[in-house]
Amino acid sequence: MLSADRLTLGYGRHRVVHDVSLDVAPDAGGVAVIGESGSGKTTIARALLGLVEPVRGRALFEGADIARLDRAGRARYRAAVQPVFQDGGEALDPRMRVGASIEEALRMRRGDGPTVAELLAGVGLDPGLAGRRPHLLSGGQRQRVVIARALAVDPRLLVLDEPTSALDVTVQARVLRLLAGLRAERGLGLLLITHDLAVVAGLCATVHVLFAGRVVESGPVAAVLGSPAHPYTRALREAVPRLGAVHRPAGRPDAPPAADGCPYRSRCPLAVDRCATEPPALEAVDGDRRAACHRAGEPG
Amino acid sequence: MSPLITIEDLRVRAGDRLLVALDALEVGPGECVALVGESGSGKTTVLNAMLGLTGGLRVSGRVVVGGVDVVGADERALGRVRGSAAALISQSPQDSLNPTMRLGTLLRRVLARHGVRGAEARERTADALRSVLLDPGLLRRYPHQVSGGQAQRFAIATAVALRAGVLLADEPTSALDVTVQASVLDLLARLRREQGVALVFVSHDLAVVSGIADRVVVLRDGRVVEAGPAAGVLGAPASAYTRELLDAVPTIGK
Repeated sequence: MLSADRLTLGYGRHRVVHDVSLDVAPDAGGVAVIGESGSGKTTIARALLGLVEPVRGRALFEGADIARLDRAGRARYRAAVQPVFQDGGEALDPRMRVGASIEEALRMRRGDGPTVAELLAGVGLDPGLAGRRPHLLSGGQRQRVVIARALAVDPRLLVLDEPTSALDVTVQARVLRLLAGLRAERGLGLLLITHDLAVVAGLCATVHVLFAGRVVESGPVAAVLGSPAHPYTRALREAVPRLGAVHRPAGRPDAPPAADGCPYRSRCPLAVDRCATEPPALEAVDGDRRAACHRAGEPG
Repeated sequence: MSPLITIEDLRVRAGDRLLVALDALEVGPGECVALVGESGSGKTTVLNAMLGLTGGLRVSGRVVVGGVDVVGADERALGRVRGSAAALISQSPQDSLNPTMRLGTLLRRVLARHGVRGAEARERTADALRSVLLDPGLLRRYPHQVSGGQAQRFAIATAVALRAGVLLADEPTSALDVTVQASVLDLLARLRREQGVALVFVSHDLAVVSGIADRVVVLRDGRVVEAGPAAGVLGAPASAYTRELLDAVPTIGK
């Protein structure tokens, strides 16, 4: 339903995303794009929302270029795809009570829908908050109002950019359960942009790992997280804090990407001479999994 | 050894509303105590009370930091506590750095304010940067020219240069990428081991806490729900609320 077709994106002459392809559809399990600050993951989300003009490649909705949708196509797109940004609360009209904001979204929906109270309860908020204006809510409450508002439209697909990283873990767990339930019951499609591997596991079937604007590993979540093929995926996985485990990081996690050859070689514990001269291509490793590493699959 | 921080019968009120009730807490040299809870639990208020950063709130009880009871202390006494006895490490240190000054200038001024100048200041700066693994070239940069991880290391280096006995860390890694978070947590653990720095660590994330804390205090609505050694509180929680926090930790295997 929503696709990146060999997208290259940038601002001015600066390229931040190189040749990225991915597909998101309802009834297909969620799709995650994982990367750190500056990896280009948010720019990909913005391109799929029609907010960034591609330098090369296309952002597609139902096979049609999002930048060139006709009126009817644009209306279908808006009804089907809803964004939730990290600081989504900023997008709420400060003059409107949150109940009115959600009602406005409910009117875009065809047929019977839930009530404002049901939508608020669904994201774990007291329905009594409907009468408040956004500035009287906490950041976490506002973010949940934004998610309730996005769901009010009854979208086929949500584009979520770090939707829970400003929330308490308990609220995060509740929002993730809500999204997983909607995915399972109604086939809601999810594109989840995040830096946190741990939130991906319960929500997504497919993951694309992004480093310096390039996909370095992609494939089924179980395979990619279970036995990472790329050393960057491995570093991300090991860095996730676990109860009762103390992690001693190796290497330089904030070294800037290398400008030539493999961009990850500046941090990579496995780098060899070839990595400095020859950028690795994204190639099949096993099954549906692909990785861009000259030493993919070697024991780390 | 005598504790670096002693809290007795701390009550913080906004008007008539009781925000925090903490009967007793001690933090010894090299110890890490985690204050855990959700937004609104009072964990940051307790941390702020340790530095007398409670303007507009009514505070009673005793909060002794580096030998000074900060409850009712005047600004001069508080100035001696802040930075030299206990230093605050915030969630986004970049926001609290003057954007028009290079990091080197900022650090020099902080040290001068605490009476450390000249060769002594240069020596402490070099040692502190080395202990947090920052390149001295970073001192020529402005705050917006460094990454979040570098800014956090710089904030920790400032505390080290001031010889702060306790770091008061308020969600110090929750704005960082996971790989950078792991390296900052490792740095804090190393400072405890090698320099005996004590740590009060405020977080809502029990997985992060479990890797660093000796003792855990679980707060809810300003009251202590459960407190004790980290292994006990996290391994066999006595309260339903602690279990709820534990269950919320996302795991890859689940």
